[in-house]
Amino acid sequence: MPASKLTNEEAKSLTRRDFIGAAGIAVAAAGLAPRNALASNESPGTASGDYDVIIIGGGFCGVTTARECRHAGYRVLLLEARNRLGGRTFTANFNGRPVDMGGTWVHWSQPYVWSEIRRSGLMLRETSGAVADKLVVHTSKNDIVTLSNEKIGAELERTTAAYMGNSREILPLPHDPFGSDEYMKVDGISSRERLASLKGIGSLYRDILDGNFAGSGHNYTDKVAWIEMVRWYALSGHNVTDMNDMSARFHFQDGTVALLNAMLAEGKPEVRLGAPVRKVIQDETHITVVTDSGEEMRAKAVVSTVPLNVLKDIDWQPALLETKLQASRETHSGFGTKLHALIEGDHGDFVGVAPSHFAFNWLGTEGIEDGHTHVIGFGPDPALLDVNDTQAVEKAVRLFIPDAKVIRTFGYQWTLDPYSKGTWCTLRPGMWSKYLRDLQQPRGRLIFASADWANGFRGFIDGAIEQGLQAARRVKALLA
Amino acid sequence: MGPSLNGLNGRKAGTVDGFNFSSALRDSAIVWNDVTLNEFLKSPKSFIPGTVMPFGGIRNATERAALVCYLVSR
Repeated sequence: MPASKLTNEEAKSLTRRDFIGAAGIAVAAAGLAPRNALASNESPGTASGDYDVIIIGGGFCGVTTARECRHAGYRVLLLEARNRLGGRTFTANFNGRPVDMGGTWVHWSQPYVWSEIRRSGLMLRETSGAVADKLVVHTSKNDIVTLSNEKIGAELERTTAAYMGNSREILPLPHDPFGSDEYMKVDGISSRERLASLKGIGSLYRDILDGNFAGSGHNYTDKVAWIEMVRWYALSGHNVTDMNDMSARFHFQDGTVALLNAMLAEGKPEVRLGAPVRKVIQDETHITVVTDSGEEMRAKAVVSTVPLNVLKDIDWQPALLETKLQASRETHSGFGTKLHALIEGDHGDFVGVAPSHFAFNWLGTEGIEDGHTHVIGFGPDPALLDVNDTQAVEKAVRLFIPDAKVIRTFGYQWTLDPYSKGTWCTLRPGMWSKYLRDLQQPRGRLIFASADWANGFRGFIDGAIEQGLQAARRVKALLA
Repeated sequence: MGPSLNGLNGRKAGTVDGFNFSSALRDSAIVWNDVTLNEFLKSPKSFIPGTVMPFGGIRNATERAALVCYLVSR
């Protein structure tokens, strides 16, 4: 989440007004399935016989697959391990408002989710810190340096471009991960190694870049593949401003659950919550899925949307490709923290950035609410910060605001959730060339779909929808 | 997201109709009271290995005691 270089207040207000006005009218809440309507079993019965398609996992990928398969006329069962849908998105309440604890931001450069936004007419809002003029850097020497984006904009653009190198040659087709073999030459390099190899960048900008990419990779920068950051940059049109807007500026006014409910209302799939899958057995004509309670269900095709870090926890018969299992054991780099916090008083719009090894790498104003400052923060490691400990969070916020008083804080501990075991997917060095192609491969009647191995916006809501659409196409080919 | 917490004091763990509990919680034979809640909220995954609640616990003893007091009074 690089700091924005946008500085002009007039442009900012114009942008916000025009954009939100153009995003469409709000969908009446009555027209959508309320979140709680899905908080209990919706299956008409357990002895329901065979399905055409069983989808394992009710995040955006699974819900997209379910909708498309329902439109094709199939008998569909959507199985979800948790007591809620949404996967690694989760709209909760904080300070009396809907907030997202997981996947949050969307952008028009993201073709699949943007299409859904236009289709549903849902309203978006802006994270005001993303266009703040004030950048507060907590440096590796423990100094606090406050800068205006106007002052640093050109240098941030220059140093980020240097870090990204020949991004147009490495990823000439950003939505096609295998569109060129160039990626293989650089896949083993970590973000930290790339930054260390560059000359002509001062320590302040090294700290800013290191913090930005720890925030984006959601881990220490030696765990994050450099090429993944190049991918974000390439997908954003090879510039830092659009990369910032793409990753941290616009979110759903009523939370991601609003889009999820709109998609569910279209597809109306049969949904079973609280049904973790333990075993998947494939024979020549069918696949049998066995849940934690021992219940067995059968289908002609199964779409697994189980995240990368959890794939290894299911008993697949026959066994998964060894490379899929290896990747699952290795895990992606998304292991950091995310939280919402309310700071006493109005601290204005700002973004704070600190290098990889600090409790926060990125902290930004979401908005000023009732005279207090609602911030969203990202850190590299749950061991550095207990997201629900107000005192610990206050200490971390003071990296940027020395006298800050935190009123309350709230984070979802994604790494402790047995059905995600991590946050969004950023590949570690070497994983792209070793695993990505195999992770995408179906096996017979079993199709694997996840944002974790999406072609373009891997790790984003957009990537989940991309994979859901592709999985549904594969189901149609299989059942034709 | 979770089961109703009204009337929690004295209830057997994992027994609210309409909520899908983990087998670890269902089979735990724990009855909720100020002592068991304090232990659970200190470190859920240590107290009930296999719980799927994505929560690491409340380390601050004072904050934990306040929450336990509130929960058993409901």
